[in-house]
Amino acid sequence: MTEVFYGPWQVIVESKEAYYSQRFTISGSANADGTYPGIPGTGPGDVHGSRWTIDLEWNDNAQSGWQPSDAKRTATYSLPDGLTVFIGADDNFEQHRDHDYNDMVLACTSLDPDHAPYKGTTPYEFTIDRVAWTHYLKEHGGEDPHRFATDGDDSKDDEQEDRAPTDEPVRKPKPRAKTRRE
Amino acid sequence: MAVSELLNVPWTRKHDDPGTPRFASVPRVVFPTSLEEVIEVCATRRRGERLHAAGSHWALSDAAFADHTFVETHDPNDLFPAMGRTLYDVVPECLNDELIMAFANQTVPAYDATHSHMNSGAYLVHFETGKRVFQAYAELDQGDTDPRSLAELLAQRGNASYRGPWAFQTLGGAGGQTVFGALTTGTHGGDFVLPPIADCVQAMHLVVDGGRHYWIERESTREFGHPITDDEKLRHVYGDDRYRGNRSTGKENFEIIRNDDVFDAVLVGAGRFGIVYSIVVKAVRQYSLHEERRLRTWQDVKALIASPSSPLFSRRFLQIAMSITPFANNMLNLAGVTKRFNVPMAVDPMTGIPSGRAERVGAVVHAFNAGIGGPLFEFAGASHAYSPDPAHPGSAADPSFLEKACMNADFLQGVLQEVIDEVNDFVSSHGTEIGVGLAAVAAVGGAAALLTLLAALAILVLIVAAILASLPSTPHLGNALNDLQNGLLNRSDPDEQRAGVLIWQMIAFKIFSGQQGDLDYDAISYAIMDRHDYFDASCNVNVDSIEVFFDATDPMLIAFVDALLAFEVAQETMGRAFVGYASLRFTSRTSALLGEERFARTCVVEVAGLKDVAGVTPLIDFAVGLALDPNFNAVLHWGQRNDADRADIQRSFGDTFTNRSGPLHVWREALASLTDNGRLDGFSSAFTRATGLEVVTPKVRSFVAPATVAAGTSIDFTWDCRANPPGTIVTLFVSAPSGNTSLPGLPHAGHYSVPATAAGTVVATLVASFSLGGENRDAVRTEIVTVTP
Repeated sequence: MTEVFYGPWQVIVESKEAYYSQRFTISGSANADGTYPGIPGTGPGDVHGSRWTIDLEWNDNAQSGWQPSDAKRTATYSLPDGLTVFIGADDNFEQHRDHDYNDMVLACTSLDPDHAPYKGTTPYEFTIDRVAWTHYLKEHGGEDPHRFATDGDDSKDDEQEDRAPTDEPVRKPKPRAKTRRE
Repeated sequence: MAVSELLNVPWTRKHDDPGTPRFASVPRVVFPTSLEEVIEVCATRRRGERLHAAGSHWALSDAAFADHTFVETHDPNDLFPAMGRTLYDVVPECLNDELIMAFANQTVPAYDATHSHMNSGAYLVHFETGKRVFQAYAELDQGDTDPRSLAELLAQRGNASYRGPWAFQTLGGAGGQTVFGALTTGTHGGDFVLPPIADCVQAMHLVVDGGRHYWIERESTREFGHPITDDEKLRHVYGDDRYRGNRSTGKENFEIIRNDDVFDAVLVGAGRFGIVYSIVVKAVRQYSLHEERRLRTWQDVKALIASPSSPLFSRRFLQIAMSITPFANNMLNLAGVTKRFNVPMAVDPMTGIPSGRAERVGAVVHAFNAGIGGPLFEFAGASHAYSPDPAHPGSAADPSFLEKACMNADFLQGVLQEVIDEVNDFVSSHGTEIGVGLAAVAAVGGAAALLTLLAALAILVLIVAAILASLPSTPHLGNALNDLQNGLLNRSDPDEQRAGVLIWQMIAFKIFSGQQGDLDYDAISYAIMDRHDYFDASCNVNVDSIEVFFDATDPMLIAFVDALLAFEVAQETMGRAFVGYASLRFTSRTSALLGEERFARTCVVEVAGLKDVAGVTPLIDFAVGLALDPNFNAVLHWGQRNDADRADIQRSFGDTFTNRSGPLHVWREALASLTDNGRLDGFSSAFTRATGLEVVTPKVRSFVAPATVAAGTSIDFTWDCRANPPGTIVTLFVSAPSGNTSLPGLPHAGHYSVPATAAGTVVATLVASFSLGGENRDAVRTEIVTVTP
């Protein structure tokens, strides 16, 4: 699968967890077209171009020759690192794929300053010591203000959806669900 | 007939700064109230005058602007009558007989306590496009009781089940827009199992530049299995000479189009096709909804969004409202997760009336109000959002905290007092007494950084107290929050700066927790879906707002939201902060060609803030930049701030220079078919030209030359390129044995003679060129002439 990028990015092989050989090809860039081996820590480095592509391939080093891998994107954004897109490769012929998308992982970090105008900014630190925190929890019944129920905890609420119609159309509001973990 | 008009008057939108009209003076504003008047406006357009229809001025987009003449379908100042009548001359008068039979053979479930099905029954209503959403849902809820209605016709045929209340199957979050203004910009709700509102439209009546008018339906009969209307009946009604416009008869001026592409183009058309005079929409049996809301964190829910089977999508509706301001030492953000699902009719036990009806619509004040073209309801468009009262199930509570807040800035009073008390306790206890707000925005850490801020906090709490004291004289919420921001975040002393951010985050945490706390209630459909507070005089004015549409499974969606959150953390260290909200809502794919809901599950990220506050515009500018970056593969809402240009739109919707296909190509073909390939450009606007919502491919209709002429005579070329946008340049190139000739800037239709001086072959090429937004496209026709000795 061809992955399309626009503008300047840094491309590095993040990891390889595959028996087969891995490689990738960059096309359409202004400076880095070519095929690169799937060796962690290596890669073309900075890649520029208005629109360019990455294709991932695998080779069983027996009879397959180089074949296209399936690819899956994930993306992260953080203040220290800005925007990073990870492209995970799933190798082998389609019927034999394990869908782990970790056979080779490319880390593509945006170099476009518009994507991360405050990259590297250090946020203010708002910390308190453990003694004060313990005191707070004791004062507030152990209720951690940072912890909330997760959506999977809604299963009991979901039962309402299928409730049978009743002769009594008025339904009392449910008691407020406890959202914070004890 | 004279259409009401105003000349050289200011023009502004609902969300603009109330003190400064968006346009201090526009040349002409017209207020048609009927089909005849709409046709007249379009038929009498002067050369160079460009028109654009406006609804109720709710759009934040420049798409609402006309180059010259604004055509108002619903005057927001209520000085002129709205074009908002419900019509009965097509539904049921012109309905296809087979469709009526099909309706008659189906029994529609009642709206009662016995079932909770989604989308029960189907009903058609036809109304003028100046009807506002709240008026439409209020009228539907009454039932179609007019003796001329389809419900009554079916009752006469023995099926009375169509009497009773009807509803929109989905709505956006507010009802102040005109129905068509909302749907033609792609407005949506959060019902991820349903397409957006546009997809409930079954027919449109369009008047184009020049005054010709079209009844447009889909060719496919996917919804009902039959065409909606009967051609002969339609021609009988709309072929009347009243509607002849510039033609000699009414029949010549009216056309019926049954074509999916044209229908899906006009549906979301940004006003470029003309004025849609009326629409037929499909309604469903009225229903009640349950709404549940839970307070979460964005960091907990974001990983669930990409999975279609995650518990987030267990209902019909999902909204994730987020606090941009962080807490927990900048690591977390609050998120209110709201879900909705159908339930049996819920009623107010005191009255037996469905919950929310009395509060959101109320009684009929006037059976027919000429100003709105329909019944005037007591509270439709004149009420706070419906709030359940836990102490009195089924009835409404007083205006909520935020609703009161939006009426003036006083609502901050309680929040600020709590924060002041907490900070004072913390300072006076030398950092041992920690309140809920402080604990929320801090985290356990070795450096115990807050202890170093005691002195700074003591100073800043005095500033908060001073702002609290001045609140009664602060005109708007935005002004009050900007005062707070300036007082807390613009500090020269580094410790005070940090302490200010801390207090700011405490305030934000308390406000958001109060707004998005846990909630469960049932009410009638519109009382839950329309959450707009029509008494809001503060929160929703002078707003900057965008909506960004993503494939919900695209990882760039989460990266986009995280980028905004990181931006906010950084800008707070620079003395700015965002005041507003971000929310994610989900919808399924639309059939509209330029609908922003392009994916099986589309996620819409809305970011809205108060312009009065210094950190709002930088963050929204940043969001717009990311949204338009091709790496993010997103599109912006047509009805909100939309800075996209032609290249952005072509990248998203197709019809690029090198690949002339895709939804935009089909859309442009439809526009070409209704505007004589762009020659009729009366509804072109600065916005449509900037975004490429134009005919961009010129045509050479004819280019004629003789096959053979004798030397010593002349070669006569004639051409017709009139069916092109006005800026098209026609050039004739002639290559002859005697030399080459280039004739640029020719009239769009004409003839030209070239002396045939010598025997041989003459190659003549006619080129029609049109440029838009830096891209040029040509149409080329070549003729070869043999010159004999």
